[in-house]
Amino acid sequence: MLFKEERMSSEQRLSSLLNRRAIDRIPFFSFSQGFATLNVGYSIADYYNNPQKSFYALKATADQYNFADFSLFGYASFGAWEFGGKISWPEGEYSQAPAIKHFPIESEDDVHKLKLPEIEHAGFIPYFIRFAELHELSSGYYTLGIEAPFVGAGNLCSVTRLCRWILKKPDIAHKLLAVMTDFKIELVRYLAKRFGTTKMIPWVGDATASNVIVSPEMFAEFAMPYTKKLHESILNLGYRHIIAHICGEQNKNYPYWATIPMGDPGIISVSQEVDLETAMKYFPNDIIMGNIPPSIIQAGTAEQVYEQTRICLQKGRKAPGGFMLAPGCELPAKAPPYNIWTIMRAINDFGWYS
Amino acid sequence: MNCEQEKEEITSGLAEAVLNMDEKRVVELCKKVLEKGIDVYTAITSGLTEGMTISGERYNKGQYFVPQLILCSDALYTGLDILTPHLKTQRNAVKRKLIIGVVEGDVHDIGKNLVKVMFTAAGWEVYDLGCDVKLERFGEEQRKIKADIVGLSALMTTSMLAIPKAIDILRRSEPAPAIIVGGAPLSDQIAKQYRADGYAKNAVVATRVAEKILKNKVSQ
Repeated sequence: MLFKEERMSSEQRLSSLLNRRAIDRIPFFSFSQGFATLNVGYSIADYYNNPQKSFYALKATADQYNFADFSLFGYASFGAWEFGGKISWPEGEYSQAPAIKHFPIESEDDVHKLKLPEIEHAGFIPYFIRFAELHELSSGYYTLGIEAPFVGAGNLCSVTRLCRWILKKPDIAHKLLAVMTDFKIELVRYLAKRFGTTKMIPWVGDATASNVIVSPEMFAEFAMPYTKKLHESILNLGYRHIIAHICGEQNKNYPYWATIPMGDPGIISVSQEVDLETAMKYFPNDIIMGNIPPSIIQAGTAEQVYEQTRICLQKGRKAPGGFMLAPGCELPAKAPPYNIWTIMRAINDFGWYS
Repeated sequence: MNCEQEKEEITSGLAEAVLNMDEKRVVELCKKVLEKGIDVYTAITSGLTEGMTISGERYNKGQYFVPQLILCSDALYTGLDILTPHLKTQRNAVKRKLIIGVVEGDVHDIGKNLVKVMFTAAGWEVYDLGCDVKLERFGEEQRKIKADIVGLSALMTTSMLAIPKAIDILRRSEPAPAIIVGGAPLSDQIAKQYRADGYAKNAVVATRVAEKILKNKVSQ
């Protein structure tokens, strides 16, 4: 089949969307990570531990499928290695992302002794720097996974321990969160100083804040204030946009997320558990991004993928602040390529603006 | 207070202590159970595990969340550690068996741990294989343990792909168990596609799903 003739390049489309100008059709943010490196013949681990390969794979895959990608680099377990913990790279047939093998915080005592690492050399940060260097020499936006302080705190001490401290030792949980927030602010400050604030859009995801894990009240006390402080710092440094990946079932947290500054406009990455219309209600001035269920992209038929995409497009196009189609979370690394092509076909059928 | 009343008060106190995440109170009451010669099986099933069951119901209603479930389970296990050694063995003999694990490639184990708690509270004998479990190991353990149910968990879309392979291995095991699956990327539809016997949306409903499968098996 033939796709309709595009009136804008992916880069023009993205730039126009971020500047609140009209665009020809709905863009697709692919949320590719391991999918991209596998797509060009590398391994999933290469996405994480080889910024050169990652950079190339993301660009090539975006070109191949005509994605409108913010080139995304990072992983959700970020924060453990940087404070002295240990991670393992994904290996074997079924791993998707780095996993924490040793948490740097095992006791209250460890929390009291916690110090900020030297940013430039800590854990994964040299990989961020290399990825940013490559992107600064190239065109287009990119996004680095700074991640929210709450998910970072869970990465320091394990989510189970964080849950215990939330109820039994809230002062310890707050101390941990404060240190993690300072760390992330220092990291963004370093990146802003070194690379400027034009091309990189900080990515702040929070899977641990899901209401499957914590209550909205816990979110309000332990997650929101720290994310808010981080976002305020990011915007004060001169970044115009933040991508907030509100991961998982967070319906009850949305009223709180809506009090956090996101930029002008911010980009709200909506998971499949939240209706796009809910996101639009709370973020009328921001770009809404989402939310095809990744499990359907992975395990569904092309017809199911097409139908889910159609539903997202028809809901999302009403977003007053703009809309990008995207998976609700990471594009499955081993998704059938035909299902990805089907997403683009559905955009061609339902995604054009008149 | 007569003996029956006191027994009832201690037992319901245990349920309440688990529900209130009060480990100290659990220890006090478990000691009383032993001192007063209260039937340990009753203290466990009508006290400790009843408290955990109610906390699970509260989770389902959105009144409790994972932090509360974790602290309730801490209280449950504290009580079980004290009382289980005093349990008469013939009561152990009728327990149903569950093997549980997070499949190869995945280290996310909070959900799996909560499933373990709920099955323990429901009186099952639980064999926890941990996380990142090699698929062949599920078959090996099944041949040794002969579990009624095997629970497989995955939280990533890549590790989800290990589930149908683990199911194939378990289907070839002798005796073949019933299989339930759970974890964020899975759904009822995908569970059926992978030929699992059941899908548990969360830890709290997992025991109900397992009981239903076994009941259907018996009636067939």
